[in-house]
Amino acid sequence: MEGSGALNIKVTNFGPIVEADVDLRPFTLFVGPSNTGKSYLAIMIYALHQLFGESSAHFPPTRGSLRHRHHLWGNRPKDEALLPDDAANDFLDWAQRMLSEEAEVPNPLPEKIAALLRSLLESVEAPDEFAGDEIAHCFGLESPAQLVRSPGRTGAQVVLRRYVGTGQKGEEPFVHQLDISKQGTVRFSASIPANQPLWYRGDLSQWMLSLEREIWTEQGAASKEGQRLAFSSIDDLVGAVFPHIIGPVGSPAYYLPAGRTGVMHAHRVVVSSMLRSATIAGIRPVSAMPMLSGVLADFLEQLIAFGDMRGRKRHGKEALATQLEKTILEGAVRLEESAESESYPSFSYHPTGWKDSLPLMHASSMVSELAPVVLYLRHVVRPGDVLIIEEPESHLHPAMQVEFTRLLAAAVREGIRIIVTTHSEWVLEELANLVSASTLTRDDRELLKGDDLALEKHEVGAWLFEPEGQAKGSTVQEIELNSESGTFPSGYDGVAADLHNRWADISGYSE
Amino acid sequence: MSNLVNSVHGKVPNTCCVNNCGKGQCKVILPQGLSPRVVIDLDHCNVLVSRNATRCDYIVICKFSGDNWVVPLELTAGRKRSSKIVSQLQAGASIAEKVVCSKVGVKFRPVFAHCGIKPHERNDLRKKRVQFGQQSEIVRLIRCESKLTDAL
Repeated sequence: MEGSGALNIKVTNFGPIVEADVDLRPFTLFVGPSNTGKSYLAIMIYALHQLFGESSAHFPPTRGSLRHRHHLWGNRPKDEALLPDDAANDFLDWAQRMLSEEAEVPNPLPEKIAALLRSLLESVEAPDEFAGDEIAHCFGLESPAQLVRSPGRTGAQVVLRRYVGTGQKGEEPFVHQLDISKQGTVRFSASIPANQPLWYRGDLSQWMLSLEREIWTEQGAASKEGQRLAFSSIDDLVGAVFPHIIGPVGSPAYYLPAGRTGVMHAHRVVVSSMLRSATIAGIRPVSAMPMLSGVLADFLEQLIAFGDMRGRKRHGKEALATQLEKTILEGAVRLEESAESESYPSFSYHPTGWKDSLPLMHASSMVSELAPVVLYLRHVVRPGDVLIIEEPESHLHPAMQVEFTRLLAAAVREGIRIIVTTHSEWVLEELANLVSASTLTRDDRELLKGDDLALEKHEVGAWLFEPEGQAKGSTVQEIELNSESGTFPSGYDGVAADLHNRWADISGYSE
Repeated sequence: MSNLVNSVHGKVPNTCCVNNCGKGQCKVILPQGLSPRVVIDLDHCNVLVSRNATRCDYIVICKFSGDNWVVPLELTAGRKRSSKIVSQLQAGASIAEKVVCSKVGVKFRPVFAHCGIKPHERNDLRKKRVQFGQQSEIVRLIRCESKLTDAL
């Protein structure tokens, strides 16, 4: 069977980060002081999803992915000899045998075919402008060169490691690596270990049919055109194998940036301002155009796209959206038609028991903060997708931060992967409780809180970003749950301890 | 050597004295500036406290920034109730009273070193005080692996 797999990202000399070596688990938290690179790494992960992942089925296509554009290996002309003769013959023989025996494509792929795909997947070494543009876009930068940590002497490096198993006992991972030079050149490379079988996802029966119809029937397997088509059909095989070698990064990711409350209130103004400015492009310098970072622009674009989802079948996790409305918002978030346009959305809030709804801008900042989470959960996010939320604690009372943490844990239980950046001790403490609860029996847990919500230790990763004075940047290390104190040693409680000690000093003087 | 540290040295056997503070996963750093000093390990000092009696981990008696200090110190990497922390530090303060003859001009500071403390335990600690002679102090908090001077 294909394994569930561990996923690791290592960045070096990247933005403010000297080095980070982070396992991406179903619930991943980035904690630590401001300006240490938490959002930088979160945006990089989002960028990797944009590069490698499927586009969301619900929003306009993103700028494209490496996979779809064949940037991994197939951007050379198809009539160029892609493969050594013996490999080409092996592939043709195998395909022909499969067709004559009317067999299903075995999973994992036979070793000869797997070896062929490995060599193709590893064959790109040229600088990749597309990857550079995509990454720079996500950060709202003009050039990837700006991502290289300035005091560093070398370029930045981003390495994604996907383990099919747990990553233990010397298991060799699938590796994808981006090297960003100080000049802004992005070089992509991949390493596909020979000892890992290649599994594919989905059904390849359609692929077999097209192979049969187009190559063996119409062109003739032995003809040059037939062979050329056969080679190009390897694209589809690569596409089917790619989710296996890239793991969760192959799924759509959604980024809810800090400041989303402002976007929820002002999206109309921002959009109309940008449209107005668009008419001056070419007349005035580009710097006169309003600029948004890629994650903010994507969020805004997706927000507008919700207009087309009104009245349509909901694809997300309705139960989670409803739970959020019930336990935290005490009212429903509604997606309505705007006065100006049928397809432009209008968001409102209907407090429980009220006759009328409120425009979102008249609701509390907590409602505006969480409304997008309701919308994404209800309409878009599916198991396997990744939801990246910056500072989920913003505008939330501590009690609601705790409830929201529980809701995110419930989303993880439903198969949604969560990445958050946070400064909240409450979020961390409730998460610590949820992990500690996993050591109890289900019956005991139900007695505790009326439900059996818990997260296993291996499902949660909390990573502390800390300034590293000498290196003039930050480093990242995992903070493991202290099972005795029941806390993650984030250092946030140090602030509370300082306050406590100051109060003790004051009370000593005021006696 | 300071008079205070000198007089304590005279009353406490060398076998009770240590150079470092650490229990299990929790250590506290004693910087150079904390000198002269005597550190009494109450877990290994039957002369001052019987084996089963309530006590804190250490008493640090030292000179720091020109002042004489008496610091009962409790360390834990795990969970501990605030009531127990206070009673242990109070027991340490009472032992310190026996070895410190003159308390005039001596600064007193009970300290709890931890690897994470729940907010309600912290709130409880605000309500309780540790007594040393005429002085009554709220427990100060530092994290394990930090310097004792952070609490002074």
